Amino acid sequence: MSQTLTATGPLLRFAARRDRVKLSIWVLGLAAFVPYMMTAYKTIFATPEDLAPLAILMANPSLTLFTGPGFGLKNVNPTELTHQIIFASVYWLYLLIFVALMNILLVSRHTRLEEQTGRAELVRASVVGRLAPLTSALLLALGANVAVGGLVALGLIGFGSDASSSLLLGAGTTGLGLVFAGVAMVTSQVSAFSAAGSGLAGGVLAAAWVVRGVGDMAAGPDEYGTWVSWLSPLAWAQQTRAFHDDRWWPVALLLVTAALLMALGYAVAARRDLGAGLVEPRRGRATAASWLRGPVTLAWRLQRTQTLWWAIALTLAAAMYGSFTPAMVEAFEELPDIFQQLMGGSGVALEGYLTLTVTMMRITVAIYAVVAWQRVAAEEVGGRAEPVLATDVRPASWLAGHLAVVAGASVVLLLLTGALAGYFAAGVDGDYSLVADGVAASAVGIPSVLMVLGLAVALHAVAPRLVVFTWIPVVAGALIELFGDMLQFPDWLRQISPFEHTPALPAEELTAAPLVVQVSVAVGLVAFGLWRISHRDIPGH
Amino acid sequence: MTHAIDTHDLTKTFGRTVALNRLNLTVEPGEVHGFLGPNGAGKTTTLRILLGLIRPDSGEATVLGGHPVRDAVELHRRIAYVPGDVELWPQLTGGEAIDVLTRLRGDGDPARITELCERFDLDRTKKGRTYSKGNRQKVALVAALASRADLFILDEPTSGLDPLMEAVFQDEIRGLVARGATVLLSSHILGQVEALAHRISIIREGSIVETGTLDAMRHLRRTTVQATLEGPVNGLATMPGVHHLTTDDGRLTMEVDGEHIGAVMSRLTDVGLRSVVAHPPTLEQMLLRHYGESTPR
Repeated sequence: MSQTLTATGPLLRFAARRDRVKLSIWVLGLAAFVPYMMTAYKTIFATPEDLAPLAILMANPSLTLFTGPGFGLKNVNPTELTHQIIFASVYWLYLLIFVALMNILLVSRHTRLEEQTGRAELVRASVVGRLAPLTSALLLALGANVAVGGLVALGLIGFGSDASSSLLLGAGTTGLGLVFAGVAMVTSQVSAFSAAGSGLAGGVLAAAWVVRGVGDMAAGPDEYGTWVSWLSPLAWAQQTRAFHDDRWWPVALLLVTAALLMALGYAVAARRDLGAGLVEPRRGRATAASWLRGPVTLAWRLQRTQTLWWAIALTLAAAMYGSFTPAMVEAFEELPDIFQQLMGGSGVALEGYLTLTVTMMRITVAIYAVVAWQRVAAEEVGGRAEPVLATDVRPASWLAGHLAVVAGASVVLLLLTGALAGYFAAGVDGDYSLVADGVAASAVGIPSVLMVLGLAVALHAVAPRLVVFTWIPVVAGALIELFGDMLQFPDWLRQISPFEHTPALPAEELTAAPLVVQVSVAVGLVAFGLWRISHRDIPGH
Repeated sequence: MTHAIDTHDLTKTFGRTVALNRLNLTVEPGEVHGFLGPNGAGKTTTLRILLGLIRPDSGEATVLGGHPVRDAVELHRRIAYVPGDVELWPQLTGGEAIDVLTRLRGDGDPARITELCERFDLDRTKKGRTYSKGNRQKVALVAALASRADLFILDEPTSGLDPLMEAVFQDEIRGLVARGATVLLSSHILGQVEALAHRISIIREGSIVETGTLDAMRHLRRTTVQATLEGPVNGLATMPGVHHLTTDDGRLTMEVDGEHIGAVMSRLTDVGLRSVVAHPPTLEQMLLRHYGESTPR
């Protein structure tokens, strides 16, 4: 056995060296979750009495879908509520999801991607044991998970939390991370391509989320989850009941499951050939569909799969936000001012919540637009634009073709989510004119998304590698829209958000001036981009 | 006569690197023009300028009588291109990629595509990400060869293909020439260039150092002659054009300049030739002379 692990140590150091920036950002970003949330609670909910309405809201069955079984929230004396209970029973789930994502990406990056690119072949041809690359990747994942769990526990203790409960929550976080390292290790064996393996692991994560959500929703008023919840590893972490009545044995369940999954991954990896997958890549069509014959249709063919997945995800998200609506409307009066402000502060719960939903969807569609445009930039950087531009397609037509597809898809996604949000809001008291309100609210958001897209196009036309800077206004805008009220950002800062100027329908009135400005900016940026790309070199790769 | 390709003093720098330094290349209509040079000499940069994908810092290029950038669309309808590093769309099959590229140019006969796929033994139902380098190259080759272009710009098109496919490739290129097309062929495979090229240009450090037919190039080179004579021969070493004469057990070895080979051979014949071997410099020898500093003479 020792021979199969030769050089694990050097490979581990090498992997850590290559990943030092990316992994540090992940670990520190996840650890920062604790001080961020704890500070925010202290600002918003100064006393346990302030927490009471939130606890009632979060114990609502439709909301347990998004939080968990709610240990310490049900039938509780308000004076016993703490920020730690809120953290563990409401927001921990989101920390767990991101920890799982970190592991999925880390394991597929260090195992299957290395094989797919042929780098593993170079390494394995050296004096390296058969299982050493896999083992070094797992050790790196182990280190990252222990670091995240440890920092989370330390952060909680730093905010004056009970040390034992803090350690339990940290251990649950580490254990859940290791389970998904194991899941990714197994799914990475299935396909010869890393994207397929991490996608499959992401599917397992989504299924785990849905299963525990359904299980928790089905629970009675005095129950904490049901047997269905227990089918999901996400629930096992929550079932440690950290900060309620701590129990450690679910952590063991996580660790044993992680070990079993890793053993399965090892068994498969040891038996298969380097670079091979368990399933053969699927065959496709021998000739292109007859509609595929120009820059626009080619752009659509390249964006199609990803766009359809976004449409499905946004539909589900809109449905989930929508299913909140009755609970939010019911609890609106009890909520702290801060939530009322987030919903437009109009005092009309239903319209305020619809406005908030549409704003969230608008930001998400802007994120889609940037992600889709990064794909366009990758076409050029990856050398796949070159053969197209060697035919009779001009650079400006190539850019315009992609722009037409991404802009069109963004508009469709906006209108779709607006209609869905309105439809679910209408479910509260049967006022289906809210569907039209939702569509109108999302339609006035079109110029802001086009402005973001215009920036991506203009940056691309200068140099495709600059497209990444489109994230700055999008992320800043998202933070300003979601936390600007809560953290009381100054007015001038809020002005820079691309989403700030969109009239917040239906809570506010429609004003045309900002829309005219946004459309002009978008048109100007696109015009610059189309002009600029015709006057620059198409770099080789 | 208008040239198919004509460049005048093309210069292109990338940062501090001088990729092309006053490059003058002429390709005549209907010929296969071999474009040879070491890695990094500027071959790909030249081809990308001819396609209008990048612009020269100074100098002029004319392709099929047009301007590579200004007339790009018109020209590209008449040009087929195979890049050196073929990148395919990972989610499209090879067949889809071929169809997209030929349709974008506005031609591409499905029957011809099928024929080419069969000749090159290409499975076009596989996704782009699953192809090896050789198969990616076949996809680009099929897309190019299926077109009715007048000018084919091929950047090391067969570097990943096996000898059998190489033969198919050469056959297809001869077919293109037979119908009057022009081919600019950048290649490292000397046998391929010797077999196909009417004329050759050798590029080094961004400039064309030699251009002409292979025969003309050889004519200017020294021929290696080995001979066994019936009797002694005097004054051979002082004859014009004779270099490096050595005698080993009655066997002469020397190098003779192309223009003096006739005189030297008649002198040897006068003495009486028992056996003679004479061979012109190989393309490899000629290239090595240009590529490296310490080349065999």
